[in-house]
Order: sequence, then C-alpha cells, then structure tokens
Amino acid sequence: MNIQLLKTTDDQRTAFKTCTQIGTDINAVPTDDMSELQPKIVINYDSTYLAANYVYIGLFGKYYKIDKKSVTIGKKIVLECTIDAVMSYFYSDAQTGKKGIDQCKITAVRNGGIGQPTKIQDTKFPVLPNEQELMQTVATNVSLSNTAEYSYIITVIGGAANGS
Amino acid sequence: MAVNTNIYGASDQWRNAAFYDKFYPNKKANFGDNTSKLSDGVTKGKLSYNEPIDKSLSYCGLGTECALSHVRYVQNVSNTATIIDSQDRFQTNFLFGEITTQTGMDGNYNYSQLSDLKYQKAWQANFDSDTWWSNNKNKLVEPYTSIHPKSVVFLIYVIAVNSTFTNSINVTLSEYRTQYTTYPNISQVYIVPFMNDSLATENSPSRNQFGAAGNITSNNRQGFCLGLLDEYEIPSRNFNMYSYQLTWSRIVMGNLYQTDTSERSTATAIIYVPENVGEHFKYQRVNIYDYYYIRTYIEYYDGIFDEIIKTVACFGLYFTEKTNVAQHGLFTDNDMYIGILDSNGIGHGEYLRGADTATAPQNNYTDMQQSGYDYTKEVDKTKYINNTQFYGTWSSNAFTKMYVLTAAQVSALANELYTAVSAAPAGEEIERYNQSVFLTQNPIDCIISLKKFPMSLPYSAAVPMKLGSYTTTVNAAPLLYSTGIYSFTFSNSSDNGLYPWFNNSFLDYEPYTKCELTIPFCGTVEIPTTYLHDYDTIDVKLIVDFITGACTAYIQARNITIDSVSGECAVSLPVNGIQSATLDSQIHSAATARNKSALTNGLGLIGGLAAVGIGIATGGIGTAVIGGIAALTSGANMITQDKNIEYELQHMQVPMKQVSGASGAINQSYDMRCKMRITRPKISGSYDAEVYANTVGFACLINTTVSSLSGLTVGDINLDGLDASDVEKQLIKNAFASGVIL
Repeated sequence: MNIQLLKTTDDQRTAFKTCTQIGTDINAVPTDDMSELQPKIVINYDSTYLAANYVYIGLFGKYYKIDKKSVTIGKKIVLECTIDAVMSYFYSDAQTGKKGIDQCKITAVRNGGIGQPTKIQDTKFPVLPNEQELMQTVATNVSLSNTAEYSYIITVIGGAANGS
Repeated sequence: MAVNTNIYGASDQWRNAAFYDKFYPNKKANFGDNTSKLSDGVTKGKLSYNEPIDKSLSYCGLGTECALSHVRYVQNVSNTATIIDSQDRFQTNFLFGEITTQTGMDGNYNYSQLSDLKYQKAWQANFDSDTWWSNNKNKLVEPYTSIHPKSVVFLIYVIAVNSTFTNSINVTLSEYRTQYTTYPNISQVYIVPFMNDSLATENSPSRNQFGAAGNITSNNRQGFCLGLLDEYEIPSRNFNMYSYQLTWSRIVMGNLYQTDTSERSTATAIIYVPENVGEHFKYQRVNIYDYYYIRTYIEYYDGIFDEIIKTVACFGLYFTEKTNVAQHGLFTDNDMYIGILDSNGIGHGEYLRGADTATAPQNNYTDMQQSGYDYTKEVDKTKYINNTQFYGTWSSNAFTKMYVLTAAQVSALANELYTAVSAAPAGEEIERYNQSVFLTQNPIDCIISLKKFPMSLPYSAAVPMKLGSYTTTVNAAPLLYSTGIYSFTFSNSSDNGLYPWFNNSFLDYEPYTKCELTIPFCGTVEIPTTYLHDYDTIDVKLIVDFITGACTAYIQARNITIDSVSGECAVSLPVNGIQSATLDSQIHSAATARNKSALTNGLGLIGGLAAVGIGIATGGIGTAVIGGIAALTSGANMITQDKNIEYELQHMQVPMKQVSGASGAINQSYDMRCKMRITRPKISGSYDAEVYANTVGFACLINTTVSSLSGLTVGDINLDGLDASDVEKQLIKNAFASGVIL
C-alpha cells in the first residue's frame, strides 16, 4: 500500500496540521493484522524518513501520528502510528457530499479567536484577588450647603399678618 | 449653536446694540452695509417675506414650563368666544431685538401681535395699505445676535383687571403680590429689560429701563422686543392660515386685554398660557359700547406666581420682580434670580436666587450662545433633567405658621422675644399679659420648632412675623412649598453607557465590579452595574419634606425607579431648656439601649456607636437614629433588631448639629454631594491577551458551526452525519473537550 511520510511543526492540538511530504509516495507493508486505528507498518530504510512525524495511509484515507519509529535488522523502518481523527475527518468533501467536522455544530465554551474576555464569567482569568481599583464620580448639578441663606424653618403659634 | 453668519453677517461685523452696555456689550445683525432691520435682510437677499426667519438667533429653547410654549387661539364662533386650536410645544425658539421708530409713524403702538390674521403670512412686508395700523412693524425689528448674560436684568410686570373689568393696574410682580385680591384677572405679563447706563460702574449697577416697544410716543426712539420664531398653524373658519409669529413685543403670558373683532370678525386672539393654567384661562365675547370683543385673561390661582417666575426663568437670564433690584441690585442680591438651562440649552423654569446665582454657568459666558442650544437637535424628552422642583402648596392655618428665615433673622427673633415681653402695659402682671398675648406664660413656647436645612428653601413675600397675637418687627417669608425635589444626575453622552467599560466583559458586572451611590442624608445604596451599561443616565431625586425634615431619595435609570432610600436632612435646634434636655435624654437613652443590647447578645460594640457617641458630644443626632433604637423592645428577637440597628447606624449619615442658628460656624465636614463609587478588579500585570487566547481561550457560550470559529476552541461538538466509527467520534469529542486549534 502507498503511504506518504509527512512532517509538521504545528501544535498537537491543531485541527488540520500543515505538513510537508518527505520524499515521494512510499510502498509499505503491514507487520501483522493492521488496525485502522493504530496501524503498524514497515518501509525500506532511508535516513531521510526518520524525520517524519506524520503519515498518510491512502488505503484508509486517513492521517496518523507516528508514535514510534524503529530501525530493524535488514534495513527496515517500523512505524507505529495512532489515528489523528480530527485531522482525518476535518474537511468536508463538496464533490462527494461527505460531511466533515468543519460543518458540524458546536457549543464552544472557550475560544481564543474572540481576542478578549466576554460577558461569560471566566474563573481562569488572571484577576488579582485582593486588589481593586476605585473610581468616584460626583454629581455637581445640585448644590446643597450648610451655608445656604434662607435655610431655617421656624414653626410658630399664630397666623401671619395681612392675609399672607 | 452659533448664529448663522451667512444670514446675519460675520460676527466681527455685527453692530453694537442700542443702549450699549460698556461692560457687557450686546450685538445685533448686520445684513450688509451696516443694516440690521429684518426688512434690510430681505433687501439684501438674506431673508424672505413669508418664509421662516432663521432660528439660530435663539440662544436657548424655552421649555414647556414657559407660557410661550403653550398657545391658545381664541376666536368668535357663532357669537361665542371659542378656543379654535391650541399648540403645546416642548420647546420654543425666539429672538430678542430692538426697534427704532421711523418718521411719519404714529406713536400709538399698542400691538403685541398682528391683530388681523386674515392674510396668508404674518411675517410679510405690508398689508393692504401703508397706513400705520396695517404696516407690518416687524420689518423694523433688529435682531440681537449676541447677548451678554450680564447685560440685562428683566423686571416682571403684570397688567391685571378687577373683577368687574372696570379698573386695571400695571405693576411689578412684587407689587402685584399685595394687590391680586383686588385685581384677580391677569390679562398680561411682560418683561422689561434694564440695562446699565453711563452712571454705572463695575461694582455699582445703574440700570435704566430700555425703551418699551409698546411705549413709544415719538420718532427715533428705541424699543426692546421679543419675537417668537416657530411656525404656527392657525385654523380658521373661512380659510387656512399659517403664520410666523413674530410678536415684536415683550409679552410672556396672556396677551392683549381684548381684541377688536367688530370690523374684522375673523380676528384670532393668540394667547400664551402657563402649562398648568387649566380652567383658570378665561375667554369671553363681550359687548362694550356696541362693539364686540374677545376678552381673555388668567384668573388668579395658587401657583400663578410660580408659573410666572418659571416662564421668565426659561430665558436663562437675570430677572427680578422688584424695581430697585432691577435698577441697582447686584447679581447676588436676595431678590435677584437667574434662570438655569439644562444640558441641551433648554430652560425648564429652574432658577437660582440670591447668593446662589454666583454658581450659574452663565456667569462664565460672554455670549448666551455658549449655552450650546441647537434648535435643529431633536431633544429626547426622557432625558429631561429637572434640577430642582418644588410642589405642595403650603397654606397656613389659624393656629400655626411656618416661616423661612436666615441666620440673622433667627438672632433678631431671639432678641425680639425680650422686646415682646417688655411690651406688657405698666402695672399688668407679666404672666397675665403673656398668657393673653402668647397663650402661654413663656413667649418662647410660641415657637414650636426650629429646623436647619442644608439648602435654600422656597418662600413667598416677607410679612411681619406674628407670635401668638403679637406682631414682631421681624419680616419673615412664609414657607411657599412643602416639598422640594433635588435631582442629582450622572450621565455620559458616549455610546458606551455611564462609565468606560472594562473590556465590556464579565469584569464589568457583579461580583467583580460594584457600584454604590452615596446620597446625602440617606446613606449608601448599591445599584446593579447593568444600569451603568444599558442606560446613559442615572438620576437621584432627593425629595425633601420641609415640614418634617425627612427625605427620600429615588434612584432612577432613564426615569424608571430602581431603588429608594430614606433619611433625615434637617437638624432640629432646641429653642428652650425643656426641648434641649429632652433631646439629650433621648440621645443618651438610645445609646445606652444600643450598648446594652449589643453586650447582652454578645455582639460587642459596633462602629456605628462611635457615631452616636460623637453625636452626644456635640449635641446632635438625627431623629431617625432615635426612632430605630426606640423600636428595640424587650422580648423581641434581639439579634434581628441588633442587625436592623446596625444597618441603620452604619448607613445613616448623622447630620452635625449646630449650637446656635446665628453663629455661622457650621461644621462643613459633612459631605452633601451625591457620589457614585465604582470598584472594579485589577488584572495581573503579566496578562497577555494573545498568550491567554492560545493557551486557555476566553470563556464564552457560542452555538455555531466549527468553520465559523478560529483559534483555540473548547466545546461540545455534535457529530451527527459524520461517517466515522464510534471510537473515532469519541476521539474527536475528546479532542474538542480538551481544546482544538482551528
């Protein structure tokens, strides 16, 4: 079966990693009954192949992370791989109508693309626990004052003069 | 808004107004070649007859509290005086100007309006002839383009008629206060400008009346005029009319006493009425010497004096109701007022008086156009800010009377008491004399209470104060209203709400950010921060009961009350030994009870008690605190009541009591400003938004498609329709649960 040896420097969490192919398509054989999820394959030795950390297996049409590489007697390289399910199923295929992860619905509870905190409370956000900033605004459109002139009210017995 | 220089000329070309004040100059329009009349404006191509006059002349808007914003059209309909239409505007635009009589014109200029409105437009060149009674005198008006706020003091006049309509008076508003019972029918209220003459010095005003437009009896005399610039739609029985009402008069309320309808039966009386005139606006068709007239007037009612003052206050200038004050009064004279404009430059009848006028922003203007009023701006009525409003007419009864005094008057009254007692006739027992005059053997017992308030109080004209049946020599002003509303406003005109948001995030809300209002006399109230973000104005309306001294503050967001808190703002001053002893006893008992309660319940003394202790030392504590402690009863839930008391003491701002009303040495440490305090969190100094975004991601709740997101994403994904094994799907779900970079 044909495989492609790939190298990526992207973060492991990247959904669809950017890869560069090492060499050309390679003919590989399984070492035993080959699992689709964790295949173990053998290829002919080439020193350049040791730089690969990802492999695309055309038989399954999926991408795999190379967990372990072994060089054996007889100038072979054994690759022990684990499926990268997110990368394998990420893109939809418009021609075949095959749905990918990119078209799936998600309820995101964290996202870096927003760029700044939202109104959803974030207990991980680095707020200093014991420090606060104090601001004060004073309304100045009304003046109350102890020095106001006509500010005493006296209640007395007796009416006022002149009917006032 | 600046005056439109394309129409009224460049500001450096404006001409000096007549009666030029050397200290506070006013300017009038220059339409070109040093011409200023409105007719010159037409000649120079700047104005057109039958078209509205540009309203940028209006340096402020006259609010709904001004009578000029409420127009009633009265006409003879089927031999009955009928209000055929009315207009009530939220704001009215106007001009001030002057007018110079011309050679050949008759001096009998009694027109405050165009008396005959059968023509299409009021602002027009002439009527059907060029005789004096039909020539449009509005042509001669020279509009003012710049008015210095200190250049003029308006004196308010009233023309009133007796109940039989046989006699009338034309007096100042102050004089009318003692004559309204004889002349209860107000036909006109007008304002006369007083401006400095050559004898005036900077610290000694000498003002004279600027010639009245209705009082010119010779040629080449200057008269002052007020004109309205808003369009009027006046329906008529026979034809449609649309008038630009340029009155060229100084009338602010009412109008002509009567309108001649004998020859021009379709004449319409245009009357300006106060906002709350209601049924007190009267209109009749009357026959006098075989001629029919429409008679209109405002029947006196409680509150009309206040309406008159509010109407004049809407102009935002200095005014008074006394002649001597208009002539020689300083701007801080006790009987000098200045109208206050709101933040939109609209007058709503608010004013400052006496020494308080010094705080009016107009004192820093050189031109009233600095009010910022823009007649083209549509004002959001929900943002109307009412700084001070009084209501609750207070009438005396036969047994008690409430007066508003100054500190000096309190002293004078105290001295008067000795004079009162010594007035006993020779040979008569003092006790018998006192009993007959004061209804008590101790004259001081005539004084029921004396309270000090932290604000100027509303009062009517001063009268000789009476104690019992004894008339003192102290002229005291009766309390005019029982309630006052003092509004504090926190506003932010930006789109971001009341204060700058902190990332517009959860950090701007509880529990991270908190907002408290400290309201004078009432205490501290926490308000939800959501009101700071969703509304751009928070108002605190402090309602003060002048009768009891209690106050309640209502916190409003865009006129919706969200919380309230009460307190006491008046300090009761003991006026005799019994009252003082009783007050101190109450304070001591309250403090003792509180201490006893706290110790009994093992709660210990709280900080609030220190305030009580201080109160005792200076002899002052609010009655609300006493009331709260008095509620403590034996056998009740001591813990609950202690908590209540603790709350009251901690949230009560205890007013400091002054020892003597006449001492003047009042403690200023008590802050009477309304304050908004916002506490908000601090973020770690090492915080980096990019790092955080790529390593943790910002908390969110977004329901969407994966392709619409970017960056580190943690969430629950729905894999329906994905052609993968269950194990693979679980691997995908696990990956998104821990974070996938899209």
